[in-house]
Amino acid sequence: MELVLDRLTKQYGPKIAVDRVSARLRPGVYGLLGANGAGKTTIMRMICGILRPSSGEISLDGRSIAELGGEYRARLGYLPQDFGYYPEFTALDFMEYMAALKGVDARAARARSLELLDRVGLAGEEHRRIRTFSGGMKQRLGIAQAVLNDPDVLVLDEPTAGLDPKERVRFRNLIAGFATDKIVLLSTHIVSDVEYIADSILMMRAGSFIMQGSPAEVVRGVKGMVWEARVPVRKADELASRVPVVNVHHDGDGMATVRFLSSEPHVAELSAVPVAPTLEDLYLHVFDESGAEHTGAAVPVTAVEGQRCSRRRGVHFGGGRHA
Amino acid sequence: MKGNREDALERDLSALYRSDRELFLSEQGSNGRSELIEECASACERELTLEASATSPHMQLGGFLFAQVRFTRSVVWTAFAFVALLTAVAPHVETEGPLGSQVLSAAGGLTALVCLASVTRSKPFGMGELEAACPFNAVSVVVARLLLMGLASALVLAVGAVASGIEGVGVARALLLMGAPYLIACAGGLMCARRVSSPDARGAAIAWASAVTATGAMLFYAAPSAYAQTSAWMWILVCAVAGVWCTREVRAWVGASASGFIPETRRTPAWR
Repeated sequence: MELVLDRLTKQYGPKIAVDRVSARLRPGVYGLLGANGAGKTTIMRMICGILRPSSGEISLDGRSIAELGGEYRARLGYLPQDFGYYPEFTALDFMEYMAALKGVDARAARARSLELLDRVGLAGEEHRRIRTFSGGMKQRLGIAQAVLNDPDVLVLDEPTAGLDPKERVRFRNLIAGFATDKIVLLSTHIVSDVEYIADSILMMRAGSFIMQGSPAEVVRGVKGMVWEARVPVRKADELASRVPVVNVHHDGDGMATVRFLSSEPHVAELSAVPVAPTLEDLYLHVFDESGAEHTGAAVPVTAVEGQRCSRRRGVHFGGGRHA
Repeated sequence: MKGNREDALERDLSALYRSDRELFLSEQGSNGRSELIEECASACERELTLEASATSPHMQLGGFLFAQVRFTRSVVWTAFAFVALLTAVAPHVETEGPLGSQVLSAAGGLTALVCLASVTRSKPFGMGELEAACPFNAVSVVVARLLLMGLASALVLAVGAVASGIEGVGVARALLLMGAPYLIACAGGLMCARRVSSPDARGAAIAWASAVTATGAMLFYAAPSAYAQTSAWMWILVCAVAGVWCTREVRAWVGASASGFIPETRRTPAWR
């Protein structure tokens, strides 16, 4: 099974939201990382057939999804970023309603709905109205409806946004459990949510994929650039104005341990030691607050299969800033 | 050496399986094994049947349509029943008189209000995007609701027409009196729902339909005789124009549903 994005572009007038993105997705978990406005949701909506691309094509096993239509959507599961529901629905009502839209037989729908509600930890809540659910419960209900039809392609848009750490861990485990033999595309700007479960990272900026590879592969891009130094607190603030600082931990004795990014050798004055980079370090390096481009020698771009490098047209969304 | 080790492992595994089998047979008896095999085969058959029926390649159109009926709130059907009663009673209010005409017109506007409250639900509650990604997508949902509400409306208007016919008011005139405000309310309601932001969509549609009903009442009270004696040709013209407008708005609404009612402002990122 293979989902192919071929030079996908989405343009709104002069503004380009997605710029000739190409990728081949095979069964596995893909983490789509990028700042707000990078184009993640737009890509996901195009993959789900909700938005039509301005140009380019999406195909599943060699057939265009536009041509497949309902047949493709029968193999798709989607959890949008803003998850809506009818206010009078109970959890079971909602699942059975979605089952009807997904073409699941009515007799099988109830059994499957109850099984999935149990699996996502909502057993006993099936007759409760969704509007009384907490954020975490709603998201779990969302993932349950997304896998109702046992989809081959599962698209989850910012599924952990707004969840507390415990809920996020639970959600990650749920996704990992559902991901067998499926193409799972998970978008987030919370790096730790994908670091542990993603087989492949797709990093996105200004409507384009700038990096693709396993977490270990992409992280190599900042190898030798991540340092930790124990400095006086005042110096920590000064350091933050000179280099990108990943984390400052105040040790309580007037000193602070600073984790920062730098490719320059001046760090010897700080007695800084190199540390193993993480995905978060890479993310901060790529999307630093200065908005500076980091596609030169400092962070080698891992070519995405099929991606053409060409000049940028029009005005691009997203960029090197956090929203 | 390696070959000897592998052979030894094979022998150990065979011995383990043999001892497991002998233990099972000693506990379950000689029939136990064949029963276990039969149970496994039956379980596999059940699972395959469940899988096959769960996602039928022809998709469950009947199930989808039934779900649209099942998940329409009972208050909607109650409201339709109330308006149908109103249309049945209207000709008795004042046969051929202005008040009867006004009640029929009000019933037309109220029927549209009930329809719009149901047809526009996906947008304000953010369900459009979820529905758009399903085999029976948001377009299917909208079309199904339009058909369902359209049938119910037709029934209500038919009740009013038949009651009017029985009272000698005239079937055609009754249909025109109800049809004009109904079509104007539906057309404007869908237009308002489509153009305002998602949370306000349903409220805007209902507000429009209420305004049309209220305007009809105001026109009546301003000049009741003129209202009731407006020529049939004028009503036909109003119905025709409103019908064309309604058709365009229905098409536009169905078109908007194809992209899950995603608001234009949300298609572009928060920062620009």
